Amino acid sequence: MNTEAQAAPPKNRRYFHLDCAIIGQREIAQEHFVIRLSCPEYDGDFSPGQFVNLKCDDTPYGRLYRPFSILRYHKHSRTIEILYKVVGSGTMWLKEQPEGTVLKILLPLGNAFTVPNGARRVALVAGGVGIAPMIFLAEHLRNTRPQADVLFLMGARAKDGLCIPLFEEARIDAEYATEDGSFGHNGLVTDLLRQRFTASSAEQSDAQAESSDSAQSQGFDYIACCGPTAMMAEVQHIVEGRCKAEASLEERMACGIGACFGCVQTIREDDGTIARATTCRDGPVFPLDKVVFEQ
Amino acid sequence: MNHEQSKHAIPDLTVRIGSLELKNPVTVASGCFGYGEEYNEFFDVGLLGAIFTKAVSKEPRLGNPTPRLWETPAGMLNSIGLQNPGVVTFIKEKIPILNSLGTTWIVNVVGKAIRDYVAVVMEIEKAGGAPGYELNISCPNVEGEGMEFGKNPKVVEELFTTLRSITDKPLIGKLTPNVTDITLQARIAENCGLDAISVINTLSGMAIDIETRKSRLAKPTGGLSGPAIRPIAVRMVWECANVVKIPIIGQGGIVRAEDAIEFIIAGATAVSIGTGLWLDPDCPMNVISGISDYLARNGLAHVGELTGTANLDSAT
Ligand SMILES: Cc1cc2nc3c(=O)[nH]c(=O)nc-3n(C[C@H](O)[C@H](O)[C@H](O)COP(=O)(O)OP(=O)(O)OC[C@H]3O[C@@H](n4cnc5c(N)ncnc54)[C@H](O)[C@@H]3O)c2cc1C
Ligand SMILES: Cc1cc2nc3c(=O)[nH]c(=O)nc-3n(C[C@H](O)[C@H](O)[C@H](O)COP(=O)(O)O)c2cc1C
Ligand code: FES
Repeated sequence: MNTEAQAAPPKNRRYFHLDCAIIGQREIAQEHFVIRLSCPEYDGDFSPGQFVNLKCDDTPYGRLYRPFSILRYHKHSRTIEILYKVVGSGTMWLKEQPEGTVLKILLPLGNAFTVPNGARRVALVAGGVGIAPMIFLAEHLRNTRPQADVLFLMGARAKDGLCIPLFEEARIDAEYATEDGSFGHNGLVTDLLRQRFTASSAEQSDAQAESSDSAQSQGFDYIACCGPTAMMAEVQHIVEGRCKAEASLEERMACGIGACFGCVQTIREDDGTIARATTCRDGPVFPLDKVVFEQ
Repeated sequence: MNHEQSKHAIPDLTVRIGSLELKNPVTVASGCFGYGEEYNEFFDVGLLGAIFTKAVSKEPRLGNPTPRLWETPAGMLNSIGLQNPGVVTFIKEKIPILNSLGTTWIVNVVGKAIRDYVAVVMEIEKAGGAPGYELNISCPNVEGEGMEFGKNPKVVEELFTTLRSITDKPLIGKLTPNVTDITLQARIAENCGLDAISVINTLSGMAIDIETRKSRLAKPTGGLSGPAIRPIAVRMVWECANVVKIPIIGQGGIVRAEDAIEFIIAGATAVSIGTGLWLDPDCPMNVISGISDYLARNGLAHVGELTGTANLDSAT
């Protein structure tokens, strides 16, 4: 990636490696936990899309840090909330940790969603634990863009994975899809997007949503998505560059700050050239039309 | 406090690699620290002994597809594929940053053929030069049927001799452990007039997903690093130290000060930390202060007094 930037003076710190203490954890769906972490030494902020690296073990030769998106950040109390699904050794260890356990955390990592200023109609498309940054973004939009009409589409394999309690406590209305038909639309969350995404969105985005009737239109000014790769590739296919869309991507990570080139995404630049950008520093949020999904 | 005491109270950590003086023996390993700018937004990288950059090749390289990483017990496999912006962009965009970091830096050079290494070093020399060059011989030699350069002693000799003839700057050979006897490469490096050797690069490894029966990486194999390889790396440093006099930069699985001290006792003049940065991001600073404390505790005035002091008399 290009860097015109001069090296930051050491005092100009961007990344911090701090202690945080577990204040509480609760299981909101099977094997899905919301963990609250108190991080009193951090006086910065977080934007939707950013993540942290958490040390999920207690030995010096233990595991690589695990990346987790920010679900919520309460700046006044310096409390971070994360939603995690138990999938392997690190998350298995994490769920056993009692209140008061002190963990190492590297933060704030990655970039953030960039919702255009005039955006009136926004769609947020989430699949599985991809819900975490989407809840953060939805709450952020409610606070900062009260005029925006936000449609939240949530998909999971089965009802439990929809994390409905999260929507209830955040008072977010969503449309749901489950692959087994146990709740909401029987099928994929992208089916819901396709139904809503009409050709009118093309003209809509061209007009930059400035016309007064834009709110009534079926088109969107902005779409954000986070979930399984196949889901995001399908969103890309549906949108076809007709409105601004961003995706928060995942990749296996080591350093978390852009130094090891382990976590790259293949990106097609505007001039057609192919580049490999780091998910942890250049991302995790990328313009959806530039992502080359390799499956 | 008399002179003797004060000398012991604050041990001298400076070490020499050829004509380079490092403020301490703790460096960061190639490929694990980018070109310095990212970590400089985290801690004052100027406190390090030196920075070994990510590999630089003649042309830009996109590297391998993902997944590029796979975690293993006490270690990890990687197959980055030497992604880098190429020497021209390196000179334009990375050297100015490296020069501003407050410590010395050594550029890790790779190529598909010997002439590529020459081209990279010549380009950098034309642009004012690097404080030092590390030659990575763990990459495939396209003209040698894709086998690692380091596996063929004749090619290693030709590479080292050629590079020595084009620069007087400190030249470091980064040896591959994927051979039966690593001391062969060490001797060649010394005989060709190289200033130092880095021991070791990653060990070739593999992991298979038993459900899909595919590699866990996009490529069949990758390089194993981290604490899992440390005993092998310490042994190889010791073997090399027994046959050459040039300084050795020991690496492989260093996370804590005692790990670094083990390498120094085995014969290393300096050490490098790679994977350890990701098991404990604070580890470089802790290793520096831990070495200093150890020297003070053992009444050693200079870190060089510890190098190669393994007491192996009772070993069989
Ligand atoms: C930017 C980003 C944000 C994420 N946000 C969330 C979140 O909000 N909630 C959540 O539940 N999960 C999230 N993940 C996935 C999460 O990092 C993994 O589920 C977690 O690392 C698994 O650790 P483990 O030890 O339990 O699993 P293991 O399978 O034992 O882990 C083995 C190794 O693979 C890595 N790994 C495994 N799964 C993934 C994955 N999906 N993505 C990247 N690396 C992986 C681990 O970090 C570790 O290095 C995110 C991943 C990324 C890259
Ligand atoms: C992700 C990664 C990338 C690496 N890239 C390079 C490289 O470009 N050139 C090189 O000579 N060594 C490279 N190495 C090897 C390291 O410099 C180091 O020799 C090795 O990892 C052993 O040290 P460690 O266990 O502390 O990581 C890389 C290692 C890792 C883990
Ligand atoms: S994890 Fe190292 S570059 Fe992203």
